Amino acid sequence: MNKNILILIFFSILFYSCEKIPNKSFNNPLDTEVANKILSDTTISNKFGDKLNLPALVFFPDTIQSNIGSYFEIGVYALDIKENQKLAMCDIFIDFDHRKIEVDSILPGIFFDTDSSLGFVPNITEEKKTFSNNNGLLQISAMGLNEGNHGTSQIAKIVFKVNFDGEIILSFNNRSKFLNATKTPSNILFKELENINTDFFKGTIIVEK
Amino acid sequence: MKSFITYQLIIFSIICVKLNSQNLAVLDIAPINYEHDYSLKISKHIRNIIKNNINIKIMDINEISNILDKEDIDNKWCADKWCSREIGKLININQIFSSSIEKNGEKLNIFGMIYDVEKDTILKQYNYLFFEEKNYLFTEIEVMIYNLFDKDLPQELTVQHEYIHQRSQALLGITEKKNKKNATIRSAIFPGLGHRYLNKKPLSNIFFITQSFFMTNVFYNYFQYRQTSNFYNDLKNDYNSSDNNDEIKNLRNKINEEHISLKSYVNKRKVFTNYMIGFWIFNIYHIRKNSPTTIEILEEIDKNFSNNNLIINKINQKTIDE
Repeated sequence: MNKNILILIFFSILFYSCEKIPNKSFNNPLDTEVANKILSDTTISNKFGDKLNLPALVFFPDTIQSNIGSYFEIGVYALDIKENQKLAMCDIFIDFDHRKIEVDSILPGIFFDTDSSLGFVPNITEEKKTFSNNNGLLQISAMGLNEGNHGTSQIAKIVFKVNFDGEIILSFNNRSKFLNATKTPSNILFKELENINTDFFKGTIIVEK
Repeated sequence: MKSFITYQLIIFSIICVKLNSQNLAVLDIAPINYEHDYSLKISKHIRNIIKNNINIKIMDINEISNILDKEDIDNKWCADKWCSREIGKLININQIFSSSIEKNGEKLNIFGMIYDVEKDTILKQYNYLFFEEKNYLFTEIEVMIYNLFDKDLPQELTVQHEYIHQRSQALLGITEKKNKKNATIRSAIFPGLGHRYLNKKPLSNIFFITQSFFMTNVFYNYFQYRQTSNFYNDLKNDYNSSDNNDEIKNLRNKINEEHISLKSYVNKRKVFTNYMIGFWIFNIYHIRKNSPTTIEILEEIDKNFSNNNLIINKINQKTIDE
């Protein structure tokens, strides 16, 4: 009896010794502070070996778990667009595995919406969002009037339907284009922004049977 | 010649009738490593007590000896079932009281039994080991007889026996060992319990309160950790699912704050756990180190029996002729 009590006390102490300090990690891809830290550390790359540059395009959430037959939403975000290089227009191409998922719909985000007070029509119209479920390419085109917008915000939200199990990678195609607008008294000049990183952040969808 | 045989038959019949009227034969106590002469005195003492205190009629020892002498048997070497049976048959009596006393240094072991010859069974037996300090033997012989005959001990004898028992246990080292063992077990269960067992109440309270303080802090920090940990996980989930830049910044700051709190609770808990375990071990060590020695136990016994000094003193005054 006494021996049992001693064992109980011993294991209670062991049990109470088991709490762990959780690992403090910040993994939100939209956290610009974290992104800047990654940027300053040249040793960090993603699992495909790509290095980060800012500003960038980001999938959020970057990892999604889903099931066959169900739908999931993933956002396309502009990350840390600089104030001196505002984004006025974009033409985003996304590659996806059309054998496993198909695009259901594309919804506009709020990145260009913020300019609506200036009389801009920001919605991604049907003509400006196209996708092919046959060759796995999705195009999102959007623009804003005036000088465009900066910071971190959602450009669009895509709804996919899952048809097959496995791991699916969503990535931005190199054909993606980003334009900056400069207003002059007589017209608006568009200039391509070439420093927007589209390689580092990819979307991973894990589909279970 | 015929008249002589008739005379002998009449004498034999009278002896038989007389023997049968006795229920009990008390054999001399068998001495083992003990003085033979003194054992005879003890045997006499036993008979006196049975006759006078228990009020049982017993067969005269001379008669027993006469019968046994013819068979070349010494009655004082019997303290076993088989010889009790044989002697019982020889002297034609129903119950035999046989006993022994064994000396081993200062220790005395007394043994007694009542044997039923007809049923061939031991009706009752008694065995007691004690430390012979100051004439304790007579008292313990009395206690043995009362026990064997299922008689309640008189109050005075009860006190005397208890006193002898406690001193014997102490002098045999049993009390010291038992105290140390029991106190250690209690201290291992919870600090202070061992001290309380040894009647060291102030120390017991100090150990109990100090340990409770450490334990309270351990549990407090542990439960604070649990609570903060849940909150931290909620913040982490909110942070991971947020796409609002301001909210992300705000959540990151909160996560940093809560992480510092978590570390603090875990570290405090560990410190108090170390204190707690260390103090627990110290408490066990302290109780073992401060467990009373045999001398202290004997002093304590004398102190406890100080109200019964008169009764205790009578132990030493007992003599054979009493």
